[in-house]
Amino acid sequence: MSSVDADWKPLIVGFCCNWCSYAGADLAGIGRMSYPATIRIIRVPCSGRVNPHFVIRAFQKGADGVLVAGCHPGDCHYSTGNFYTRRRYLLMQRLLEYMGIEPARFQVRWISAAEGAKFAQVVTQMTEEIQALGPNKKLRGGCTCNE
Amino acid sequence: MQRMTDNMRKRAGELMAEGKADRFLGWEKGSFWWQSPPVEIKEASQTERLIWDLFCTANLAKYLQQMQSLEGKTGVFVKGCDARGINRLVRDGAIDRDKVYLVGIPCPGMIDPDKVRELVGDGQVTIAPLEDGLSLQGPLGERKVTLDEVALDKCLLCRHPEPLGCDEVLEGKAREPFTGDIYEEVRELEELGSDERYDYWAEELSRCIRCYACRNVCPACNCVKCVFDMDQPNWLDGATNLANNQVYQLIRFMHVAGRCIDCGECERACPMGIPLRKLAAKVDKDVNELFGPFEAGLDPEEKLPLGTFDPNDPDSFE
Amino acid sequence: MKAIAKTALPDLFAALKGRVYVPVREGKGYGFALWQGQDWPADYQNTIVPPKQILFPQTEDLYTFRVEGEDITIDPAAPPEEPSFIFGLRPCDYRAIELLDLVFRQGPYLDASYSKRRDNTFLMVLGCKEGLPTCFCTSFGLEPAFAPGADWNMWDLGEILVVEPGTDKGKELLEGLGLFREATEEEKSQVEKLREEAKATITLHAPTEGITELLQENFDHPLWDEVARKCLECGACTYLCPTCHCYDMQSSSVLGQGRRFRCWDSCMYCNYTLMAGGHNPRPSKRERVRNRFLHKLQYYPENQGEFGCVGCGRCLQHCPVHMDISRFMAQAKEVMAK
Repeated sequence: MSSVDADWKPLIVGFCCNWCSYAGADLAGIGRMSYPATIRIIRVPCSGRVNPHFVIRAFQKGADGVLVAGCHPGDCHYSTGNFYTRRRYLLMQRLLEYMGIEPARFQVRWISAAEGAKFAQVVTQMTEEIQALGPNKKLRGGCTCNE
Repeated sequence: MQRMTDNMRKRAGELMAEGKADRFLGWEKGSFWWQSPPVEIKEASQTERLIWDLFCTANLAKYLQQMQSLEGKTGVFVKGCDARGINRLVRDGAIDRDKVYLVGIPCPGMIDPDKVRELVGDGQVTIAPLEDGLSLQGPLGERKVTLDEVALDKCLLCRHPEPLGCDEVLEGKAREPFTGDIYEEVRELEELGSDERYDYWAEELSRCIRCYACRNVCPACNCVKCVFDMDQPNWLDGATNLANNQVYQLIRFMHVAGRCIDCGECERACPMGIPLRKLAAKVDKDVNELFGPFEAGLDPEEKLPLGTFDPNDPDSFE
Repeated sequence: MKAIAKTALPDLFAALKGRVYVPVREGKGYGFALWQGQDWPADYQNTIVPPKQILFPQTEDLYTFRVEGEDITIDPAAPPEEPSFIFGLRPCDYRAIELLDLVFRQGPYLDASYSKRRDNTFLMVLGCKEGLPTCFCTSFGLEPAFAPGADWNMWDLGEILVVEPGTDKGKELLEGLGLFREATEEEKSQVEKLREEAKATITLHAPTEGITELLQENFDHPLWDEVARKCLECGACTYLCPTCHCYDMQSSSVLGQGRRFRCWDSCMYCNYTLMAGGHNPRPSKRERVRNRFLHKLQYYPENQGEFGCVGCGRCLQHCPVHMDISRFMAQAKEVMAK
């Protein structure tokens, strides 16, 4: 994407479960691990709380990427929440891809409270991938009119 | 056809007289040769309105939801897809199975009027059954065809023309169930590159006028208040542009994921000719590939793929 | 009356200075789209979405805004200055535009955007040689192959298109274009014949006489229950109707940029008359279906002195459950009159 401003940085919306991934993000901070300041974290009680609407909404409102992060399967604070998350987003990821949305823009990761380094690494990697793709225009509302 | 019509009229009358149904849902002849719209029969004297022909395409399942509040039982004539739609609604708790009486009709498949028009033109068209097919007569002349030559695509791919879970089934012959690959069109699209797929759907979905016909005919879309009818939060504004249309279809097909019975009504209802079945079938294909074989609407007790899980589900998320 | 060979149509479209809309294959049928060198479609009957979408777009910006820090910039949106040409709309759709004029351009409130587009648009009507089985324009006093008042009336004589201007604007345009020759007497008589023959091809009739008065007296007739029961409450009929003109105004924004726009709305939708306090004066499908029919057959005649239906037949064709306004009218005549 040569037309993109060299200073451009992606905007990533991250839905993090309260019990694991949000704590993982905290740990990354406490451990002073560095990762790009591209992610805006929204804390949710469980990754199972993340409605497909939320993901789409983020894209509609200008996100360049969306991350859903939760406890590792089997470790859910509510026992089974993330098992449902997994099914839901396995499907949605494929549907988005089928409609031509780049897979890198929507990712799901399991990040425990002890995995501060993984959180930093996931954000870094996702940022690089989206940086390479450039700003997202697809699904974005607000400024486009068919006329 | 005529024999089935006679049977329907007779059975509807009998069941209403016996008190097994207080009203009946079926089809009547519409204003034109290609139309056999739904009809509600309120008393035995009206059963003459009922008909059975190759245009009884409309899925009647959807009407039962609005009839739930009525006293007594509603009798319904059901094809394979109607029956699956009703199983779907029963499974979702949207209707009470005890308040409906299902009379099954083995379905031969329905006609696509456009295919007939292509062969014999529009206007005065008559379609007469032959021993081994149909005789079509129209402004462009006469043609002898098999039903499959003019059947709706969705009927050609139908895996369950025989109605399931009925209280009784009228005598008749259903078409052969389709046993081939129902995902062929999906595979073709999947093989394209990401940008080509985007362009394909951009072209198709930019036509969407958001009339919501696809949603309103869908027996899996049974929410009392749809998210797209909500003002607060307003998930999707009223602007029809590509992004909004994509969002609408994405969310709708996520909502019916694992619940779509593949009746193809969305695609038939769409005035803009958007190939919606290719989206429905994609989700269905993935449900089957990821979570094991599953067909929605076969059993009113079924476990829904997105309402359950297996700890050993595939996991590509790391 | 002038004539042009159909093979010269691309030259004509290229000579028209502005946006030229022609029927283009779209999905299962046709839609009006900008001419980009396409051939004239041979089997075109009418478009699925009526040409009202050009004068009254489904989504239309009213203004756009941008927020930067403390600064807010608002830019009013305006319809394009350049003229538009709708080439090949049908007489029913032309009549529908006249009916939209009554709503948008009459009385104390003038719809600025619609008016501007309307003033800037040439309507070039193509007469129908043959109606579809769903056509019932003659029931509303229309002629299938002639639209009085249109800028141009055109007739397709096979190889030749014959044109007759109906307004000063249309006349001026036609005379300014060097592509036409005078129509021969033979061609003129062919046009007369086509007009006569087209009338006979409209086989569907809707009883209009006295229907307004009948409906006025039967607001609560049980027939409404029966009619409404079948409806699925989608908006296909209203969005495809050439005279439906309801809209909503909404806004949306992304990262500090946004717009206020208007978009089509449908009286068939459950939140159409929903009020802020939660009250809905049309609480159920019965009231909503009734409104759609009454608007065409009673309110329009009461308010504008004309029927709000032109008999284009789109709602008959595209309704997923085949609701049929012509059949309803016949039914009303039969049942309500008792």
